[in-house]
Amino acid sequence: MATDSSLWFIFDSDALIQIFVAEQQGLFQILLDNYGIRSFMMNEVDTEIRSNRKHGGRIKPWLDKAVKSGLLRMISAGDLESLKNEAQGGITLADIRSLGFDYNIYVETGEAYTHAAGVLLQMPVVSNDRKAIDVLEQKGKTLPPTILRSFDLFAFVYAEGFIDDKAANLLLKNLKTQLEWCPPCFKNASFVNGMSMFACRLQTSLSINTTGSKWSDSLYLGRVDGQTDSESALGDE
Amino acid sequence: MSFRNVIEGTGLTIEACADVLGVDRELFQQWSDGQKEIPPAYAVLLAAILGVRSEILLAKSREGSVNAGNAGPAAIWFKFRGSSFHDADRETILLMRRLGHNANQLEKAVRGGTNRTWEILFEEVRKGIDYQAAPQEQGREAARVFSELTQFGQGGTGCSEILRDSLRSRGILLIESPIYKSRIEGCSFYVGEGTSQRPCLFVNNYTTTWFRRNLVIMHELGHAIFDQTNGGEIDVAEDEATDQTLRISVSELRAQTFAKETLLSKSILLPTLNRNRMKAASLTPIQLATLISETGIEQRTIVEIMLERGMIDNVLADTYLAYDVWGILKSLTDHALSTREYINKIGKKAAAAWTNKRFTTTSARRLLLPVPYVKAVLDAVRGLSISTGRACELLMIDQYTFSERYPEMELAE
Repeated sequence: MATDSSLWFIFDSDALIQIFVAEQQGLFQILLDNYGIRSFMMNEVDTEIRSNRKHGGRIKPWLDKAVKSGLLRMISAGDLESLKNEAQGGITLADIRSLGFDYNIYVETGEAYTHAAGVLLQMPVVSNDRKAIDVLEQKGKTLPPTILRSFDLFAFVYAEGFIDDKAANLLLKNLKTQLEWCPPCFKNASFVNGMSMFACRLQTSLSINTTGSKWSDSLYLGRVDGQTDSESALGDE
Repeated sequence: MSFRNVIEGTGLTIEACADVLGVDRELFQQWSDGQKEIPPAYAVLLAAILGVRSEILLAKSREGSVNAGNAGPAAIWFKFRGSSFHDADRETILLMRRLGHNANQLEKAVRGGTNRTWEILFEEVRKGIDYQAAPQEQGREAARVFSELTQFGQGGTGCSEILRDSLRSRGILLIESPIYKSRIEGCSFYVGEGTSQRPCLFVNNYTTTWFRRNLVIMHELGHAIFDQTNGGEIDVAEDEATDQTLRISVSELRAQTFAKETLLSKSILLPTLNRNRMKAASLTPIQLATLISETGIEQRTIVEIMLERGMIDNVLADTYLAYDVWGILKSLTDHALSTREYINKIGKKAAAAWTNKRFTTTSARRLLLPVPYVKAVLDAVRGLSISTGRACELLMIDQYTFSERYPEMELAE
């Protein structure tokens, strides 16, 4: 992935569901204000979240709020247009859907289109489904430059001091109460204790955003200078 | 034709369509009303299930309609209109069409393409038919060619035990699932999109026996071979109110003769009688039960066939029909046992492997998925051909149900 100041995180439904269940939707604002990262999802992911039998009803108002505020956006033709002068220029929604259609033969709809967007736009994807990654790799499909888990974000905001011990432990408790997946090191530990064993794929760097050559390599985020105005960064919302 | 028109054209409800896609009803309503655009991935899926072009569903509803050649829903939906059929019938067809689409997707993931062996077989069977001949003659000839090509009935033995596997191995989708209080006994139609269409045979297994269903399966197969251009055929359980014209139509007679001749041709019936030292004219209840057990055909049909072939007269036919063979049959074959009796026999532990693990759960209406299909999906997960999330979509269950049913398979990293 090219180093870039206008970075997008493209979220899959399982990761977004965890963020909402953990009541950590403040993440989107943190990512935008401090690292200039805009949060996106595909339309198919929005459908999956709203249709989730266990959490959909509870999450919908939060999702609506996040979308309405512009902190979480569905990738649109206009958004892709804004990338045209950059490294990912020229990619259309039709391109993403064409690749997503192919990936969807092997993996779930939401993650298929999320990974497709990540691959074509060369942007990081946030998805918890390791099996889907294994399947796509097995089938020789290209993967996004970086794949994060929801816990990479939780760990990152904790490590960076955006949430304290109490809030971190509470988010883990919320997830466990809902029988949500969590990495093994957190299964029988508090968030704070589990952190010492967790290999977070999200780190800070002094300036620019950069990553390694494999999807599981750490992504280094550089803080933006000053505070980014969320509204101006969101463009045509 | 607009999104809403397409749905109304099928006789289905918005709720049923939303459910079969596993989509929130409120959101589906918004798609239907044109308040939100349906994501293309869902438009393609819904189009395949309904049998319409996806462009029709993708056109923004605010434009009211799209000129897509007035392409309405698949012909099968027209057959399910009217008071004879209920929402349950239509919704079950909807689920089956989704299953047909899913089966194609699974084969693409695992084999790289769909199994179309059935196409060659059907073509060969149709090739030898004189369409000017009597329907019974057409059915007989079709059965002869079919049996020759598939080796059904080879060695003078019945093919009931192998017919399901044999048909499925040729890419035919065979579903036996209950539709409660429905008149449908079986139906056949084509599922899948475009060039990936495949025959789907459905048999309602609500309060029917395995022996009866064998006949219905082959009857529906007869329809699938000959009546593809009709958009599908529906067979209702016969009763006094059954329309006589239904029983004597060419396609019904041909399909019924095909079924009987495939399952119990002379070259199967006579060797079976001889092997068991039986004579058609003097069968005891035990012998008739043995005949049912060995051929896999219900009592009524066996008697009917012997009568049609002049092997017995009407008096003897009535006598044989009056035999109570069920108790004897249960001692001869497990197929005669009720589900409860079968579970008792094999033990609850063995039964637990498949009990309550095959019903779909994304919609209020449930479909009992075929064991080989469920196994194929799970094998595809184990073989890294599909992800567990994709398996959930193909099995039409949510991830929580998947975890409960198949705890040995981890969902996430």
